[in-house]
Amino acid sequence: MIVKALYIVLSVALVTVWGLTLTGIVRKIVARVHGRIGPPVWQPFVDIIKNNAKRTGISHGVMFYLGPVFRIAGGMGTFLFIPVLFGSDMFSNFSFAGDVFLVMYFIFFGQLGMALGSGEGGHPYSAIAVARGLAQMSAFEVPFALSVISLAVQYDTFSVSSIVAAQQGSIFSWTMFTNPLATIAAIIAMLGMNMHSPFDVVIAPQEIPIGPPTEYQGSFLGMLHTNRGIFNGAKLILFMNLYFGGATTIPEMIVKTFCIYMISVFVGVSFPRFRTDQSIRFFLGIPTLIGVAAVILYWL
Amino acid sequence: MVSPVYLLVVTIAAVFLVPLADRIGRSYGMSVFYAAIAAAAGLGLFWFLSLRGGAPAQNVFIAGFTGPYAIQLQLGIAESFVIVLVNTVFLLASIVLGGALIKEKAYALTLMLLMLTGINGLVLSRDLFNMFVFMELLSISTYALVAMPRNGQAFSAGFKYMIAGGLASTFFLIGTAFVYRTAGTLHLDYLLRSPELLHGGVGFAALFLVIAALLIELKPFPANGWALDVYQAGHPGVVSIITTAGTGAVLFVLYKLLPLMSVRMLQVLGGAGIVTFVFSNLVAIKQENPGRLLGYSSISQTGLVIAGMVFLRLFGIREIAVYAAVAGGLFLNHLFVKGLMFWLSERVGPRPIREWGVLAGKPLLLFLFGLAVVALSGLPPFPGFWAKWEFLKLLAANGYYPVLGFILAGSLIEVFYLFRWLGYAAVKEDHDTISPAPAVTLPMVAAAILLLAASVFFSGSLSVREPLLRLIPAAGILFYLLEPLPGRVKTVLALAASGSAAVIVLPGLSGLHLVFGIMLLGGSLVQMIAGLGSGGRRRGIYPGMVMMVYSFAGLLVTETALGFFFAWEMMTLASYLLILRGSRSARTPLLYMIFSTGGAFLILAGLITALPAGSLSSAGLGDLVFSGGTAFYLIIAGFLVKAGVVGVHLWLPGFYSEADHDVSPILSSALSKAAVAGLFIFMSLANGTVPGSDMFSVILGWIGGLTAFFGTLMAIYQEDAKRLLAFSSMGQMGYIILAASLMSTIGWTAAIYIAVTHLLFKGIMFLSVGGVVSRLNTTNMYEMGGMIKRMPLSFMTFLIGLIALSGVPPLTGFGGKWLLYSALVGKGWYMLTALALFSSAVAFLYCYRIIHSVFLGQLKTGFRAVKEASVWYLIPQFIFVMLIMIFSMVPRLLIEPISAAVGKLAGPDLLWQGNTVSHALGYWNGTTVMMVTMGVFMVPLVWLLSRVRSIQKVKQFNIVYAAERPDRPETTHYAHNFFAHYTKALGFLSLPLVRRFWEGAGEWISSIAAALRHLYSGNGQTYALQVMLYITVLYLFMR
Repeated sequence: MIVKALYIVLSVALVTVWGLTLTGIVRKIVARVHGRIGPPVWQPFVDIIKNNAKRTGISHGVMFYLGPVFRIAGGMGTFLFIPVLFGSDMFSNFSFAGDVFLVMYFIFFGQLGMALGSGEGGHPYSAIAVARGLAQMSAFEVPFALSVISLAVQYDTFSVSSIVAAQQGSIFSWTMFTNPLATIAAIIAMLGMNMHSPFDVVIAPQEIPIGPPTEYQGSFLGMLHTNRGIFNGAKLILFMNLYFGGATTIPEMIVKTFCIYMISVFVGVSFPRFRTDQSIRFFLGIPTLIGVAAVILYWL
Repeated sequence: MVSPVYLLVVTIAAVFLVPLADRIGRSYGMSVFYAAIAAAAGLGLFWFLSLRGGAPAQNVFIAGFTGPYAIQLQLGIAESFVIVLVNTVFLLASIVLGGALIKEKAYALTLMLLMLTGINGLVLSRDLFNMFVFMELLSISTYALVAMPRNGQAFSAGFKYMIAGGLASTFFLIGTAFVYRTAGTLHLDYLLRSPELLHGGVGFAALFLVIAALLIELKPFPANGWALDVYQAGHPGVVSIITTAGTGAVLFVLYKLLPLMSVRMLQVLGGAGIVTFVFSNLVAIKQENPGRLLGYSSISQTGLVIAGMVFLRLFGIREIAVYAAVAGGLFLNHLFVKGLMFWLSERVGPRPIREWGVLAGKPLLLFLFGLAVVALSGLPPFPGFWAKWEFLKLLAANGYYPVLGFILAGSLIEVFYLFRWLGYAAVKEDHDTISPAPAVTLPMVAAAILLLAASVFFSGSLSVREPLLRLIPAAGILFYLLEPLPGRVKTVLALAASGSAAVIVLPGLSGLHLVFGIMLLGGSLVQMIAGLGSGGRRRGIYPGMVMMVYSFAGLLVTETALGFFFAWEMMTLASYLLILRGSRSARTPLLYMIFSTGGAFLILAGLITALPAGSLSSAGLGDLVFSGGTAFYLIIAGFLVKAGVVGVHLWLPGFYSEADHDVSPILSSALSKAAVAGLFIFMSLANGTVPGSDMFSVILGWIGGLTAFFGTLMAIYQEDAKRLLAFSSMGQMGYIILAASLMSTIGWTAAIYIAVTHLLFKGIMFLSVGGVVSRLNTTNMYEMGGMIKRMPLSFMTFLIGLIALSGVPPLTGFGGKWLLYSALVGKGWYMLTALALFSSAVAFLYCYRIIHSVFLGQLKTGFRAVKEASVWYLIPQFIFVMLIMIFSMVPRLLIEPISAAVGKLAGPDLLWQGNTVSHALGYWNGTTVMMVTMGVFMVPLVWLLSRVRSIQKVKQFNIVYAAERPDRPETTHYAHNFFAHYTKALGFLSLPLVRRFWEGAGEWISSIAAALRHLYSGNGQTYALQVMLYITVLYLFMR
C-alpha cells in the first residue's frame, strides 16, 4: 500500500517534470520559428513558483475556487489510469482500475470542472471559449473514437496494457505500422486535443485572452500551469501506448513522447487558425473517413 | 311478467291523455308526458332484470289472428336490453328538452310520445309490415320535431329529412310487398325458418330493398347529407334522440334481419359500415360547428355498430352474448356519450368548438365532457374499449386484417378531432360564461353515472385475479372527488395511495418486473414529494398522477394481454390529463395523445394478432404466439412511438417539458421508462421465437443510435431549460433502445443500468431546474444566470446529476457508457459504437450550456433576492443524489441485481472479481476509480487551502474586461445562441424535417377531408340523388 503510494508519487513527479520541460522546449521552438529568442526552457517552472508565491488570490465563488482543483485532479487522474512503462510495476499506476474507455472519459473530468469554475468567474470570454472548446472536442472525438474502436477490433481488447503488450517485438509490430489508418486518424484528433494552431481558437490569445482561465491568477493559475504539464504528458503517454509500441524505459518514453508532441508543434507553427465551425467540419470530414476506413479494414 | 303490449299501450294512451291533461294545465300535461316515458323506461328495466334472471322470452300475438298473419311482438333478452337503453336515454333527453317543450303546444308532447311508440314498436315487432308502420310513426314525428326551432334552417332540414325518409320508406314498402309476393309471409320467424322462401332474383331484390331502406335510415356515408343538416339545425335534445334511440331501433331491426342475408350481402353491408366509420371521421376533422361535428361522429359510430354486428354474423357467431359484447357495447357507449355531448352542446349554446373554453371554468361540465371524449375515443374503462377489443380480436382471428387496419385508422382520426376539441375546452380561457341549467346538467350527470356503471359491468372481461386493474380508474375518480381539498393534503393522500400500491405490488414481482417496478413506482413516489412545495388547490394534477402510478403497477402485475393493454391505455390517459393541465398550448397535449394512441393501436394490433386461436379475453401474455413475426414487430413499433424515437418524437419535447414543475420530472424520468418496460417485457416473451431477429436487432439498434444522436443534437440548440432536458431524455432513451437491441446479457444489463441511472439523474436535473423555474418564473436560460449564488443546494444536486449524465467517471454515468460500448464492440457493431461515442461527446455541449446559463455566469439584477428552491423540491433530489453516490462507490450493488434479473442471453456474461467487473474485452473497477478520484481531488484542494489564505472576494462585475467595466449582467452573460458555430457547421442535421413530414401528412389528410365535404351541398335534390345512386351502387355490389 505504502509502496504503491510512493510509486504513484514518483510517477506523478516524473510526468510533471517531463511535461513542464516539454512545454518549455516547445515554447522555445515556437519562438525560434517566429524569429524570437524565446524564454528559457525552465520558464514553466519559474511561472509556477511565481504564481504560487503571490500573496493574494481573488475568487468569484466556490465553483470558481474548485475549478483548478477539478482540472488538476482530472489531469492526474487521467495519467494515473494509464500504464506509463510496459512491464514496470513501479510505473503501472492504477491501470488495473479500468480500460481505454475509462481514460477517454476521465479526460473530460478536468475539462468539465475547469469549464464550470471559469463559468462562475462570470467572464464572457470564458464561456465563449468553453463553447468553442466543447464544440471542437465533440468533433475531434469522432476520428479518435473510431481509431480506438479499430484498435479494440485489431487487438481484441480494451485494455491499454494489453494493447502495449501486443505491440512488443519489433518496431513493425507497432500500431503505427500494423494499423496506419487508425494512427493517422488519432494523430489528427490529437492536433485538436493539444489545441495548437490551427485548432487554438479556444484560447485565441489575441481575441479572447487565453480563454477559460481568463479570470484565474495566483495559486489558481499556478495549479493550472502544473496541470498543463501533467495532462500533456498523460495524453502523450496514452498515444505512445496505443500507437507507438509503448515504452519499457524512461528514456524511451521521453524520446517517443517528444517526437509525438513535435507533430502538433510542426503543424501548429505552419498553419493559421481555423474558426470553430471550420474545425468541426474538418474533423467530421476526411479524418472521420480515415477512421471509418480503419474500422472497416479490421472488421473485414 | 307484464305483456310487451303494455309498452306500446302506455305511450299511445298518453298520446290521447296529454292533450286532455294539458287542458287542465300545462304542468298536468307535462306530468302525464313524463310519467308515460318513465313508465316505459321502468317497464324496460323490469323486463331486462327478469329476463336476465331466467324468465322465458315472450311472444305476443295481437289483432285477433294467430301467426303468420297476426301482429307479433317478441320480448327476449336482446329486445329488453335495447328497450331499457333507448327509453332511459329518451327520458333523459325529454328532461333536457323540457324547457323547449313547455313553450310549445301539447302537440309537441304527443309527437314525442308517438316517436317513442315508433321506437319501441320497431324493437318489439317481428313482422315486416308492422315494422314499416312503426318506422313511419318514428319518421313522421321526427320531421315535425326537427322543425321545432322554427327557423329557416330547421324547416329546410326537416324537409330534406322528409325527402330522404320518404325514399327509404318507399323502398321499404316495395321491398315488403315483394317479400310477400315471393314468400307469402311477412313474418320474420317464418322467413327465418325457411329462408329458401326468398328465392331467385325477386327474392333477392325484395330483401335488398328492405335492407337498403334500413341502411338509408342509418345514414351511410356518403348518402347522408340530409341527416347532417338535421343534426346541425335541430334542437340538440331532439337530435340526441334521433341519433341514439331512433338509430338504435333501426339498428335493432337490421340485427333482426341479419340471419336472412347472404354472405355477399353481409360483406357489402359490413364494408358500407366501415366506409361510413372511416370517412365520417375523416370529414369531421374539418368541422367547427359542434352539432354537425357530433353528427359526423354519430354517423361514424353507427357505421361501426353496423360493421360490428354484420361481421359477427359473417363469422358465423350465434351467441347473443357476443353480439351484446361487441355491437351492444359499441351502441351503449355511443348512446350515453352522444346523448351527453348533444345535451352539453345545448348547454354551451351556439358556439363553434374553438370557443368551448367557456367550459374551462366549470369543473363539473368539463369533467363530463372529458369523460364523454374519453369514452367515445374507445379508451378504457368505458364500454367502447371492451367492445372494440372483442371486435378487433374477432377480426384478427378471422384474418380480416385490412378491416382491422381501417377501424384503427378511423379511430385515430376520431381521437384527433375529439381531443382537439377537449383541448379547446380545457386550455383556452374564455371570459364570458354560461348560466346554470340543472335541467340539462342532471341528465348529463345521470348519463355519466350510467356510463360508468356500464363500464364496471363490461370490465367483467378483465381477469378477476387482477383487482388492481379495476382500481386504476377508481383511484382517478376518487381523487377527482377529493379535488376541493388543499393541494398539500392531496399530495400526502396521493403519496399514501401510491405508496400502498407499491407496498402491495412490489413483493409479488421478480426479475425484470421487479427492477421496473422499483423504478416506476419508487421513482414516481420519491419525486411526488416535490408536490408539497407548491401551495394552492392544484386542481387536475392528482387524479392523473395517482392513475398513472396505479397504471404502472397494473402494467407490471397483469398476466393477461387485455390487462396489459388496459393498463397501458389508462397510463396514456392519465399522463394526458397531466400534460393537459400543465401545458399552456393546446398543441402539446393533442400531439401527445395522437402519437400515444397511434402507438397504442400498433400494440393493440400486435396483441390481438398474437393471441392464440380461439382464446378467451383472459389469454395470458405467456400464451401469445409470435412465430409470425408481424405481431411482435407491431408491438415493438408501438413501444418505440411511446419512447419517442427519432421520426415519431414530435410530441416528446413539449410533453416532457410543459407539465407542472413537479410533474415534468416524473414524466421525463419515470413515465419514459414505461415504454422501456414494455419493450423488455415483450422482448423477453418473444426471445428466440421471432423470425428474422438478427435483422430486427440491427434495425432497432440503428433506430436507437440515431435517436440518441438527434435527441442530443437538438438538445444543444434549446433556449428553454426544460425543453433542453426533454431532448436530453430523448437521447438517453436512444442509448437504452440501442443497448436493448443487442439482445445480449451485457447489452440488456447496460440498457437497464442506463434506465436506472437516467431515472436518478434526470429526476434530479428536472427537479432542480423546476425549483429554479418556480422561483424565477421563466424557463428561458438566457434570462437566468448566476443562480449558484442564490440556490447553492440546487446547484450542487444539479452538478451531481450532470456529471452522472455526462458519463464522466467516477459517477454512475460512466458505468452505463462502459457497459454500452463493451456490449456494442463485443457484438461487432462498430459504427454504432462510434455514433454513440459521438452523441455522448455532443451531450457535453448541452450539459455545459444548461449549467452555465442557469447557475453560472452573471446574476441578473432582478433575481438578486430570490431564495433557494423549496425544501420539498430538494428532498427528492438529495435522495437521488445519495443513491447515485452509493451506486458510484459500489457499482456492483446496481449491476449485479440487474444482470441477475436479465438472466442468461446471448453473448458472454459479466465476471466479478471483488469490485472489478470484466468481460472478454475490458474491465472496470468503479470503487478504485472513486478512491483515486477522491485522492487526486483532495491533494490539490488541501494544497490550495494551505496556500491561499487571504482570498479576496470581489463584486460581481470585477472582472478583467478589456479595460472596460461591464455594468449590465444581460450584456455580460454569454448564454443566448450558445452554440452558434455548431449551427453554422452542422445546422443541416437539425432541420425540422420530421415536423415538416408530419405537418405535410396532416395537411394532406385535412385536404382530403375538405374535398370530401363538397359532397354535402346542402341541396335537397342533390341529397335525394345521392341516396338513389348509393342504393344503385349498393345493389351492384351485393348482386
